[in-house]
Amino acid sequence: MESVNKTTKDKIFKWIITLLPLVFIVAVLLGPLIWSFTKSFTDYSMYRPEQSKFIGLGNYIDMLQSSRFWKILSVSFIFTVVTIVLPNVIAVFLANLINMRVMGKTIKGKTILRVFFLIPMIMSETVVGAFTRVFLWSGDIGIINFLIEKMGINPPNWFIDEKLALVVPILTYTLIYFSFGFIIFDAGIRNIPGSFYETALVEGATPLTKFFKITLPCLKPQLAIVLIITLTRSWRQYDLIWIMTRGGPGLSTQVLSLRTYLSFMRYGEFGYASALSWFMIISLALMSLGILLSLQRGSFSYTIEK
Amino acid sequence: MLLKSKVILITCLLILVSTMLFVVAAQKYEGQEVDLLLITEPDSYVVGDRELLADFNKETGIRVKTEFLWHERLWDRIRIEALAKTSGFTAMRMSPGFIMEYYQIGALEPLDDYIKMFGYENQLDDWPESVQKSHMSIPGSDKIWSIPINANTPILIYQKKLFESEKEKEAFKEEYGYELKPPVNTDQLLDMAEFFTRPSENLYGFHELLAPVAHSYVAALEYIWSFGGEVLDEDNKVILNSEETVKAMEYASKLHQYIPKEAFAADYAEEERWISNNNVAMARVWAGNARSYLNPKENPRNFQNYGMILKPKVEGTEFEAGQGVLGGGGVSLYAHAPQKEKEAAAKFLLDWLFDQDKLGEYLEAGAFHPRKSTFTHPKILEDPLMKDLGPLWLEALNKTGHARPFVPEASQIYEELSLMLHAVSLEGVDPEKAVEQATDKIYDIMDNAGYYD
Repeated sequence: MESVNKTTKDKIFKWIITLLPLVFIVAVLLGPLIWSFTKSFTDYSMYRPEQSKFIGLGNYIDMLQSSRFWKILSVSFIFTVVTIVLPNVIAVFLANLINMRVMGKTIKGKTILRVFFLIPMIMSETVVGAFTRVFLWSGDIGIINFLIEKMGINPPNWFIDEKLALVVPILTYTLIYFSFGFIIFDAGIRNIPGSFYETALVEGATPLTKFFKITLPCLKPQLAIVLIITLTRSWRQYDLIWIMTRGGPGLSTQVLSLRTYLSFMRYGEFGYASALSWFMIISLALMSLGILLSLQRGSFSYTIEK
Repeated sequence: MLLKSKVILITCLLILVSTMLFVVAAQKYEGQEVDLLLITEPDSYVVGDRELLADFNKETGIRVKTEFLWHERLWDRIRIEALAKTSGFTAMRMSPGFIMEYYQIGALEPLDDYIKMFGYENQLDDWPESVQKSHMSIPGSDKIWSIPINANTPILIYQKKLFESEKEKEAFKEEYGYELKPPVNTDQLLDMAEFFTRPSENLYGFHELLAPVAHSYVAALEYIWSFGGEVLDEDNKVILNSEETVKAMEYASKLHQYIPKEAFAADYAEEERWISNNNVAMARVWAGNARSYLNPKENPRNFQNYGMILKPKVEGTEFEAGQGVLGGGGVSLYAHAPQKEKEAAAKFLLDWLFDQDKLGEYLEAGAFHPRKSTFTHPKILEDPLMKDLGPLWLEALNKTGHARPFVPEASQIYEELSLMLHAVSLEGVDPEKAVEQATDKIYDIMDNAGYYD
C-alpha cells in the first residue's frame, strides 16, 4: 500500500516539475507569440489602440508590395549569407591550423591563441561596434583608411557610400563572431581520431585532401550547430548595425530586425511590426530546415582517389 | 510687569507654533518615505549636484534617485513601461520631438495643479515663448505637460582666423566680388563654403551633423522652414510638396558639396573633432554645444578661434535668420507612478527648476537651465564662456526656434525627411522628385493613422 502511494506521489511530482516550466514557457513565450500573431492580422497602432480592426492579410500584402521591404530583405539576405560564410570559413581555417602538426609537432601557445581569439566575442557587441566604428572605420582617425592611404589608394567613405556601408557591420561581425565557430570546430577537430589522419598519411594524402575528405566531413554535426546558430544570430542582427550605421545611408544597411524594431518601438505600428516578425520567424525556420536537411544528406566515408 | 511676561509668553508660543508648523510642512514627505526615480539622459542639464540633492532630501524628506539612460534606451524604456502601465519610475526626461507620442500613449501627467499647489504660476513666463510652445504644451490641450530643463537651437560658428586673414579676404573679394565677413544670408554661406573647401589642406567650408535619422531630419526640417516651407499645416494636412521645400532641398544639395562627407554618418564626438581641429571654416552647431568649443579646458588649442552668429537667413522670406529646431527638452511626471510619488516629484522638479533663490546654487553646481532669468543671472553675465554666447543663444531661441510637428507619428515623418535629404545630397536624386516621394510617404503615414478618414 505504501509503495502504491509512493508511486502516485512520484507521478504527481513528475507532472508538477514538467508542468511548471511548461506553464512558464506558455506564459512567457507562447503568450506573446500568439498575441503578436493575432495582431499581425490587424492595423493595431500603439497610438490608437481603440481604432484597431481586423484587416486579414493586409499587413502581409502591404509588406510584400512595398519596394522598401524588398530592399530591406535583400540587405538582410546579403548580411546573413556573408556573415554565415565569412566568419565560419575563417573559424574552420584557424581551428584546422591550430591543430595541425608541423614536422610531427603541434603548434606552441595554442591555449593563449584560443583565449586571444575569444576576446572580441566576450565583449558586448555595442562596445565593439562603437569602438571599431571610430578606431577602425572612421574617415579621419580610422586605422583602415590610414593604411589604405599609406598604400597610395584614395580611401573610401565607408559609412556614406551605399555600396560599401554594409561591409562595415559585416566585417565587424566577422571580427566578433569568428571565434564562436572556432571554439566549436576546434573541439570537433580535437575529437577526430588520429588514426584517420595516420591512414591518410600512409596513403599519401595531401593536407588539402585530408581537410576535405576527413576534417570537414567529421565536422558535420558541429557545422550544423554553428550554421544554425549563426543563421539565427545574423538574421535577427540588430545591435551592431544600429550602433554602427543606424541603418544608413538611406536604407543601405537597414535589416529586417532593425525595421521591425523601428516599426514596433518607434512608430507604434504593432500590427505591421508583428507581420514583419512573423515573416522573420517563418523564413528563419525554413532556412534552418534547409540547412539541416542539406547537412543530413550523404554519409561520411574516406577513400583516396588514385 | 505682568503685561511684559504675557507678551514674552505669547511671542514664545507663536515662535514655537510656527517652528512646529514649519517642521511639519518641511517634513511632509519624510514620514511617507518618498523615493522618486527620475530617468534621464546623462547630461549636465539634468544632473542636480549630489550635495544639493542631499540638502533637498534633508529639507523635505524626499529622496531623489536618478537613473541614466542614453537617448534611445530612454525613449524605449518610457514607451515599454507606459504601455505596460508599470510604476517603475516617477518622472522622466522628455523631448519636444517625441512629447506627442508619450502624451498619446498616456505616459504623461499634467503639471498644472502642482504648479498652483506649490505657488509657481508666475514663473512660467520665465521661458522664451517659443520654448513654452515647443516644450511645455501640446496643441489641443490647455495643460502643461513638461517643464523645460534645456532649450537649445542651432547657431553658426566660424573660424575667426580664417575670416580675419588679410590673404583670405583679398582672395575672396577677387573671386566673389564682395567682402569676406561672417555670412548673413544663405547665398553668402554657399559662396564662403565653396571658397574655404580645400580638401588637400583638410579644410572644408561647412559642417553639420547629417547622420540618419536623428541628425538628418533636424537638418531637413531647418532647411524647409528657413525657405518658408512646412511639413504639415494646422489641420495636419501634408503641405511638404511646395516650391519652398524644393528650393530648400536644392540649396541643401549644393551646400553639402562643401562638407566633409563623414558628416552624413557622424555623431557629436566626430563633429567635435572636425571643428576643434579647425578642419571646417563654418559649422551649424547647437548653441548649448558651442560652449565646449569656447572652453579652454575642453578645447585648449583653439578655444579663442570661434565667432558665433545666428544662422544666415534666406533672402525673400519673413524670417530674420535661418530657422532652427528647438531641441533640449523638459521633465515630465510619469502618469502611472503612485500619486504620493508624483506629488513629491512635482515638488522636486518645481523647486529645482522654478525657485529663483536656488538658481544661483544650481548654476554654481554646473546645471544650466536656459530660461530668461538664467541668461541674465550675474553668474552667467560674469562667465567668460557665456558672456557672448548667452545673449546669442537667447536671441536664437526667440528668433529662430521652431517647434517640431506635434503628431504622434512624428518619428515616422522624421525618417522620411531624413531619407529625402540623403537622397538629394548623397545620391544626387532630383530635389523635386525626392520631395514628391517624401510627400507621398508622409501622406500615407498620416492617412494610415486615420487623419483623413
